[in-house]
Formats: sequence, structure tokens, C-alpha cells
Amino acid sequence: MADLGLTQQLILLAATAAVSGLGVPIVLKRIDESRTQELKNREAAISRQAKIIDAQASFLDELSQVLWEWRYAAMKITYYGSSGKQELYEQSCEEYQSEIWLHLNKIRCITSKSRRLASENCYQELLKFYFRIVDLDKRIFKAINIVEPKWERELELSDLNVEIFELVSPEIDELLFLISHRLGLQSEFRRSL
Amino acid sequence: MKTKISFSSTFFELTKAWSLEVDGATLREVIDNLSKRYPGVKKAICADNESEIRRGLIVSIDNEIVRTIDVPVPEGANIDIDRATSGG
Repeated sequence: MADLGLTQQLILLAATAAVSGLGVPIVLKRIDESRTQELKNREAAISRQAKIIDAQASFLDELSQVLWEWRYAAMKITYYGSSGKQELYEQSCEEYQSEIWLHLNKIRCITSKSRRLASENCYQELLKFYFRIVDLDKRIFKAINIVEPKWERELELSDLNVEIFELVSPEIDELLFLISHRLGLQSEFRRSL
Repeated sequence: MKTKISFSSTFFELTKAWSLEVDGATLREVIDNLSKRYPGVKKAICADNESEIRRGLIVSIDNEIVRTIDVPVPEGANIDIDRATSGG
């Protein structure tokens, strides 16, 4: 600085003042704007993720509801159909036949939804289970269409009742557990067990 | 070797009896002898492979549950055949 003339020193001083007075605030403002935008993006992503988690939790509740509704309808007809209680059997038969399309429709719809809200694997698992239900439904219809001998119809429905109670019920629980696990929707306590 | 066999109501249509006395040293023999008198009994009791008890039935020999028909039946044993259905 000692070699510089007074004019040059003044110019340098003015330039420094201009940079720190005008340039730095502009740069700081840019940094601040960039941080604010990043924060907004992060908040939007968190909010979107929270909505997805809520939708997945509702999906799991709905799935549980539709599977168990079908399961109880199937248990009811097979139970009364094998018990020899004719009046209750006829009543449950009417109910089953009028409700089964709705049960299947709900299960198939939620199976499609799983592809969007869960994963391809969950969708494939649910689709497999849907076809298992369709197969059981076919067997129930085959059994209830046996008019004579009555013992044959009762025993077919008894076989189905035990299969649904002992095999299908744990399969439903396992399926719901598997999907909740894949979605990461188990409680912290359950995950730490 | 006589064995007493008791049935659930489902079998009444087939056997017209709640219980019967049948010969046989094994459950298979008992069922085969029963089938000679009441055709359809074997189909009613056995699964498709004809050696296991069908899923919807509980068969017990002196209160011991069996799942196959190839088991010995002690002399004077009581055999119960009932539905295995459950509600809930």
C-alpha cells in the first residue's frame, strides 16, 4: 500500500466498500434464498411422505377389514351348513350368495390399490391370496349345490370350515403382518421384539 | 373283535343309527366292514387318499384322536366320529 498513490488507495477503498456493501449482501441473500427453497422442498417432501404413510395405514386397515369380513361370511355358511341346523344354514346361504360378489370386489380393488401404495411384491402376494379365496368360494358353491345326499354336503362344508379356521385364518394374519412389515408400519415396540 | 362306534348326526342319514358294533383289528378293517353294510361310509370318513381321516372330522379311539385309518383298534374300544367344525 505504501507504494500506491493516494488516488489509487481511495479507489481501492471505494472498491472494497462497494464489494462488501453491495456484493456480499447479494451473495448472502442468494444463499438465504437457496436455503429457504431447500427447506421448503424438504418440508414438502416430509408432508408428502406423511400423507403416503397415512394412506398406507388406511390401506392396511381396509385390507384387514375386507379380508376378515369375507372370512367370517365363509365361516358362517360352512359352520351352519355342516351343523345340520337347516333354518340357520338356509339363512347363511342366502346371505353368502348375496354378499360374496361384494366381498370379492372389495378384495380385488384393494389388491389393485396395493400396487400403488405398497409394492409390486405386496401386490403379487395379495393377488395370490385373492385367487386362493376365489378357489375356496368355488368349493363352497360346489358344496352348497349338493342337494342329495345331505351328509355329503355337510361333510364337504365341514372340511372347508376346518380349512378356513385352521389354515386360512393364520394365512390372513401372516399376510397382514408381512405387508405391515414391508411398509414399515409396525410399532417401534413390535420391531424391537 | 367287536368295537363300538358312535356317530355324529351327519352319519345318521347313512347308518340310521347313532352307534353300532363292528368287527375289526384296525380302524381300516372297522371302516371296511362298516362300508359293506353302509356303502358310502368310507367316502364319508376318509380323505381322498383313503388312508387319512378327512379334515372336517375328528375320529377318536378310546378318546385318543387319530388322523389315519391304519391304526390298531383294541378289543372293546370305543370309536367316536364327530365333526371338527368350529364357529368364530
